[in-house]
Amino acid sequence: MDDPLSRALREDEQGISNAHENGQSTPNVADSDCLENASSLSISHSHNDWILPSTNERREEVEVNEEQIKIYVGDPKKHKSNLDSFITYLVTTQTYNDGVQINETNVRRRYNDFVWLKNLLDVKYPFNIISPLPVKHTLSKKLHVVADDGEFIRRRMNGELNKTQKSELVFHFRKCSGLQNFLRRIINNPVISIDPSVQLFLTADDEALHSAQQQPNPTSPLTPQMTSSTSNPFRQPIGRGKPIPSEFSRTDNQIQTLQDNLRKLERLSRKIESDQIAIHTEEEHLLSTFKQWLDTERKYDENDSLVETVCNAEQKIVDNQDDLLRTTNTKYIEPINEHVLFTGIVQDVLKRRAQFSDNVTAGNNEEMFDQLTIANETIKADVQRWTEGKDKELMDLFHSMANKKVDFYTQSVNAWEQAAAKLSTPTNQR
Amino acid sequence: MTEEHSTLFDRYDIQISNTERRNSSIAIQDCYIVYLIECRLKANKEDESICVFRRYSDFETLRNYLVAKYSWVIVPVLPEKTISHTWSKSHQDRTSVEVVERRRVLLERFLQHVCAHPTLSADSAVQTFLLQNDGWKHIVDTSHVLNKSESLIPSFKLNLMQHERTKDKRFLDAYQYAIDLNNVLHNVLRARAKLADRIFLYYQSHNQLGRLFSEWSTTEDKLGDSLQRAGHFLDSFAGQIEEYLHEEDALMDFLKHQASYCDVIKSVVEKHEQLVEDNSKQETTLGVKRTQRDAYATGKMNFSVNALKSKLFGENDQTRYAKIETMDSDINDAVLHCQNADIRVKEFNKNALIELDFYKTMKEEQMREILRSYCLLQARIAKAALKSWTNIRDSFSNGQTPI
Repeated sequence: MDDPLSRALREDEQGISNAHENGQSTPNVADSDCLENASSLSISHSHNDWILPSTNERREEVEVNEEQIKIYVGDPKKHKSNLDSFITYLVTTQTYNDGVQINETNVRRRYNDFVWLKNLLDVKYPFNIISPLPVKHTLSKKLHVVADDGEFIRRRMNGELNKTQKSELVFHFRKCSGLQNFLRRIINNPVISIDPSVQLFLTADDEALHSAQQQPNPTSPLTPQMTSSTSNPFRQPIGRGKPIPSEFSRTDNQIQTLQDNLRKLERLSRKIESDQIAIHTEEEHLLSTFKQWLDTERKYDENDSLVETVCNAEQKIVDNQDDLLRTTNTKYIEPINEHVLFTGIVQDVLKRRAQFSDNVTAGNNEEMFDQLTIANETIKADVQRWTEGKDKELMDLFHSMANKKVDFYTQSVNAWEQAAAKLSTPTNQR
Repeated sequence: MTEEHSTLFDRYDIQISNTERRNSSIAIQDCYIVYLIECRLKANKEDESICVFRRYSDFETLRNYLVAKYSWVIVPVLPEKTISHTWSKSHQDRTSVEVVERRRVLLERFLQHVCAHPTLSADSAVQTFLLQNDGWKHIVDTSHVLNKSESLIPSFKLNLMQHERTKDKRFLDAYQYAIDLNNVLHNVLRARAKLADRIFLYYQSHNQLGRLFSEWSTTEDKLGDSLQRAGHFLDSFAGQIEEYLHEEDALMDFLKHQASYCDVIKSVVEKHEQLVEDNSKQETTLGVKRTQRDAYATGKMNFSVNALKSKLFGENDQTRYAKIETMDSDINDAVLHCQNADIRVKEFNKNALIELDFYKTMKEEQMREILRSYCLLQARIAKAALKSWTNIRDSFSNGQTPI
């Protein structure tokens, strides 16, 4: 079956790490590890060919003799201190060896802690693609209330006004998956995952973290001259006869196209969601008219079984639609948004590289030239890893979204066919 | 004997087999549709069928005649004159092919039900309507049924109900039920039409999504294959819905049909009301006449005019007796009127209640059919959607092995 397979592959993607707290592997095999990561999937395929697959054991057999780290972010809780109130999330790190859990660490972190980590990593690893963070506020959600209907606005406003507290907490639950993805992708990157700050973030208690945060920011490997010039958006990354830049400009174009497509997809998905909500409102209305009809039949002692059957079927449809709608935004639209942000990050990294490359040409410095070569390699590896990750994640996303629809329509078919069957038996009244 | 009691429906196969467009004047807009009614004797299938052309207004006239003449009968209803509760604007055009076809079906049903009704099918106007080209209109006109002021003015109808002259619960309930059911059914129809609109828009959006996927697939490497397949299936998903929505629209015709019957029920009850009131009027008049006569006979008249008259004109016993005799015969007439009115009411009630029972059974059967068809249609729509989405989902499955 496909689902367990894709799930297993997803676990591979997020869990494979050659670095863990015991520090088994060293940084200079990072590149070859990347390659192994890239092709480990093909290895796992061939493993599965001759190892008899059973859903539970597959994961462990793939990970033979490899460490695996799983990260979970959840349990948002409100904290009130003297100065302000904020939300913290529980970050759980589990280490496995051969499928056996050998360690688990739990820490509480707030959003700003994540921001601190990201900024630190951005500066320290300018040529690595670092996952985006989910947005802090729900502003993006309110923006797309494109009201084509007074009913639509009314419904959302009623929902939100009555449950402001609840919706806040719901929003924070949604952020958890974004934060989780952020950490998982960091762990996935063999170079970054062993960075001491990352380890600190995952394991240190509050005091140690705070003192680390107080220290001055680490210096960037880029010279200040370059960091400032990267902020200039108007400098064109023109290749100066070097063979590498053309490859990167091709990548740049690809990323841009991808970003455009993802943006269109997000817009269209939001439109479809609002169409769905409109349908849901009308279905509820239709259901209420059926119920009125049912009441009328009952009032005059007429045969109500016919209308009742239809009512019940319609009720099921309405309930299922409700379920489907509840998860559309979080499970589908927001991940797409995340990918849009991600493409932006990749573009930034490429820009940085281009600036650096220009400066290297200008400076004609041997050491900087070496740095450029390393940067290029890092970027290539990261882009490849990112592309594969993106492909897989998008496939899974579309697959699960379509699967939800399949479930919904299966339930609809059943509900209506049952109702039709009930309606074909003659009444006893004859 | 059996020949006389058989209905038209028993004897003939009745069909509306075709329609034609005719022009009433040279102008193109002045066109109307005629329906070809074919009746073939069941007994002898080789016989040629009798064909007549009738237009919608002909049906209307015939029906009005039947309603007026047989007021206790629940006369079958015609398809609506103007299209209502439709999801697509295109159906407003009453001459479009689809609309004509839907009307044809319901007109055929009307004819078949009329011909299956023992009383209605025995009517000469109905028989000439079906079996002869001309002549039915003449029968209708000369019956003077349509001109009678038997047709009640709306405000008058309302007053009847407010006075509650009848204590007959069966009729009261039927009336109330008809009103409520009519309301409720129209609410359902309205809600369905709006829902259909929304559903259509939703499916349209998926057209755009399919296009996006197809365009996107050209720039993707591994993902491209899946995107292209998914885009293709999204297009086919989007295209499914129009046909189903038209079918649902046509199905709603039958629901509207049922709602129209509510009006018929109401007018039957109103007729009942009228007869009951008539009856009580007669009885009141009779009572008054009797009182007057008795009062006159016993000489207890207190009217100063009559006392003056008898003094002035010198009434004697002879004239008095003559007068009493006239009054007596008057009273006898009134008694007859009363008895007639009473019989009329009883006859009407008896027949009307038979009709109501028959209608109830028929309505339940038809409702069952309608609701069942509705459920089956929804199941088919969901099935088609399921198929598309299964294909879309499978385009994105990672496994290379087919399931």
